[in-house]
Amino acid sequence: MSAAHAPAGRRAGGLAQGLLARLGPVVLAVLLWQWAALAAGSPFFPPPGRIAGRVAELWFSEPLLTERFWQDAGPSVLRALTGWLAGAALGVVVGLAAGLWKAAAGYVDPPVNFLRSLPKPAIVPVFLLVFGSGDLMRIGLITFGCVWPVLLNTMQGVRSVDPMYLETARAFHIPPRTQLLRVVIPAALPKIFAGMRVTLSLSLILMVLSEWLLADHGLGHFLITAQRTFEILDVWAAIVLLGLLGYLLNVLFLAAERRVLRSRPS
Amino acid sequence: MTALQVSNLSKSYGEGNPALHNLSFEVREGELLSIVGPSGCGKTTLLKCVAGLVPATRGEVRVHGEEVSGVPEGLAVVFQDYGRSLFPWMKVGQNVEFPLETLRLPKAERQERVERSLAAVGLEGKHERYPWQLSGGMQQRVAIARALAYRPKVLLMDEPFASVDAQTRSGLEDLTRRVHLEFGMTILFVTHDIDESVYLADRLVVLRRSPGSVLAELVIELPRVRDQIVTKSLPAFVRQRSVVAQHIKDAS
Amino acid sequence: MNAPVTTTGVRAEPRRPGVRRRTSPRGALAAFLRGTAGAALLTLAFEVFARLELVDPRLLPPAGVILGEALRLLVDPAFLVEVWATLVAVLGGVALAAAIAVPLGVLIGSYRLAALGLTPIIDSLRSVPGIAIIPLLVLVMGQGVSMKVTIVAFVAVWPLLFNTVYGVRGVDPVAMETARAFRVPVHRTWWRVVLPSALPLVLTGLRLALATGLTVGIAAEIAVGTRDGVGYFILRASYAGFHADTVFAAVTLAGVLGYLMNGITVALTNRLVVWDGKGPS
Ligand SMILES: Nc1ncnc2c1ncn2[C@@H]1O[C@H](COP(=O)(O)OP(=O)(O)O)[C@@H](O)[C@H]1O
Ligand SMILES: [Mg+2]
Repeated sequence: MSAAHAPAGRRAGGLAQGLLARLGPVVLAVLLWQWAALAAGSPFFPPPGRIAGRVAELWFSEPLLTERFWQDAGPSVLRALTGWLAGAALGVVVGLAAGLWKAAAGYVDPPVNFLRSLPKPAIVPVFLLVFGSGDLMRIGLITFGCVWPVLLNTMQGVRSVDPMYLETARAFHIPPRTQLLRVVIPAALPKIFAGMRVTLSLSLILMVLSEWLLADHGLGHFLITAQRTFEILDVWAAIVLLGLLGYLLNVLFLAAERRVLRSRPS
Repeated sequence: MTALQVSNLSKSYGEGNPALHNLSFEVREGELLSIVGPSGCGKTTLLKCVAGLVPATRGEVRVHGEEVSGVPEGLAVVFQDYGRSLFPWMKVGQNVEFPLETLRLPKAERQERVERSLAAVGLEGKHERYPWQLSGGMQQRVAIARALAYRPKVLLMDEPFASVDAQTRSGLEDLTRRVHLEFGMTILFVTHDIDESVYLADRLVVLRRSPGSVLAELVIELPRVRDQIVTKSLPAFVRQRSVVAQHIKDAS
Repeated sequence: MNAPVTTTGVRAEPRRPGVRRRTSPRGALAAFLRGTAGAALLTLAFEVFARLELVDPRLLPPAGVILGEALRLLVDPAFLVEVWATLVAVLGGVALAAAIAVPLGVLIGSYRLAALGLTPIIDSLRSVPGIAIIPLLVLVMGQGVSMKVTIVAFVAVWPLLFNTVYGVRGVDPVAMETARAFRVPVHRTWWRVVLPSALPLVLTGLRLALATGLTVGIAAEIAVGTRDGVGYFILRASYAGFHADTVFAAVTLAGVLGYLMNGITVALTNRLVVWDGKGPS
């Protein structure tokens, strides 16, 4: 190899190495799993190849997504996302008000902290029994669960605005509405997003749990039915699908977060 | 005897970013050599190469005849950033004792060394304080005590007094001079301050910038025991400090 | 790999010099009184809402009734046994998670290659909502405490792992160089320099892990999982004739449990990392 090609060659080699380091362990892990599952022959641990086949068969064939996919995953995801968004919206609005009202901080924080610490699954049976198990109530349940972390974070974000900014804004006679939109909210955004990241996974938990207790369709229902009828392969398939959905939602969320926060130093 | 020999040392951080170019000098056993040069001329880089903390690109460093690859034995460093170099989760005594644990010394001997070196820097009875409870000058004294307790043959000091106030600084300079005479170790002292470099040194190396290389070397003709006021008004001091200043001015 | 998170889930920032607020006893009392007033206001609002009887009062009892019942439960051995069962599972699971996550986090935070290779595996495992594997775990491990410990560990491992990784990466390079300059061996550097420096973030991870662990542990108890625990108690009281006051009281006490766990971890953190925020910028 001539000297002129050396850097390019090194770069290609480095790329191949990086790819190997990145993908090698995953491939190895899956192969190991496949081998171990075949060797052990346990009914509870089917080989990943069969699980992947089952996932494809149930949800990802006939061109892209099956009718079943929309039946099983559609309503569940829709409920989780609606509840999550409603919770976030409510949390932001109330959090802004509560955060700006400085005198109230000492009174508001402990109850909000308490409600945030409340393990949300504990309210699922109560909610379903008191308010019924309709779609709206399920969404309400998820909303209730998702409000508190966002609310708390918004309050903290608002309070953490550097007073210098606000003093500067006041000194230049910038109207309160503009201060709110241009100073306070942007400053609180990272914390708001952080709260929403926490509640995104919470919304999935509440969705699945509510479908276990009372539902006749949805992913949670599919999963629990598979377990009760000892369809182990279906249990695994549902786990994989939930994992895929979780991954997808997280990626989308991070992309959105990055877009919104892109103008600020990390 | 040569304690430290730097030969044709070059160092670049990545391609086309040379920090040091073809540096050669040596430090004799028991000598205090100052290295003076403007900010960014590669003083810290040089010190890290000597300490074996970063590898040289070309050339070599020998400590007591052994080529440096990795940190050599019997060497200690006092960093400029005392605040970051002292561990905030360890008390003063623990900070000083920490490197001694690696030497596998018995507990009693470690304690003794901690006592003695803290006393040598005038920090008796401060063991139980945390570094962040002390002033900047005191923190740097802890860092010096830590190096002293280690009993190094070669002590490297990287602008150790650059971020303390002027008065504290004079005190620390005298402290350095005193422990140098008392403990007799070889010291490589890096600074950008011309007065300081002349006041402290037995011999002095002036560096030029981009990339750093040796501009001049001179032997300092001052008495071994020095005093901030008396020494700094000696004609020899005044003359030599202007020689150094002229070198640096010409180079820039 | 995900950004590290603090208790509130916000991206953790490098250590900054700052003064931890030290409240005087009088200030603490005033804060406590204000907090109590806020809680009382919330209770009152709930009371009024319940008294309006928009919802059947047999389903939604007023706050006064719930509080009375909660006080009764607090000394009821039958309930305390369930609290203990939940607590054991959560603490056991989080301890197991920490035993895995902290060494792994030090490894990943220290070696680029480890991060590169393990990130895809970790990301795919982490994407599975913990709750989804409960049915499988029940089939494999039964409904005992080991199942609960496992599911808690599965969800608690992530915040601990990410915060450890971030803490390790945030170790001051000058501190590392100092250790190297004194020829401190790698294992001792990890133990005496890297871990203490990462400790504040690790403890934040612990706080999150406890909260998530409690959430999912109770979910497991409610779902299908177990025959004991606070969640099971709530489920049983809900479906066996629905004793609304008992159910609401138990839910409230579950919240108190979460609140206390959080508070204790905060107090512990403040004691353990007195130096945090005291370093240089
Ligand atoms: N880790 C590094 N990576 C890249 N460049 C560096 C690094 N450390 C120092 N440099 C560069 O090398 C030169 C010399 O730096 P340094 O040794 O810190 O100088 P001094 O200590 O004399 O101020 C500077 O131009 C600096 O930007
Ligand atoms: Mg420097």
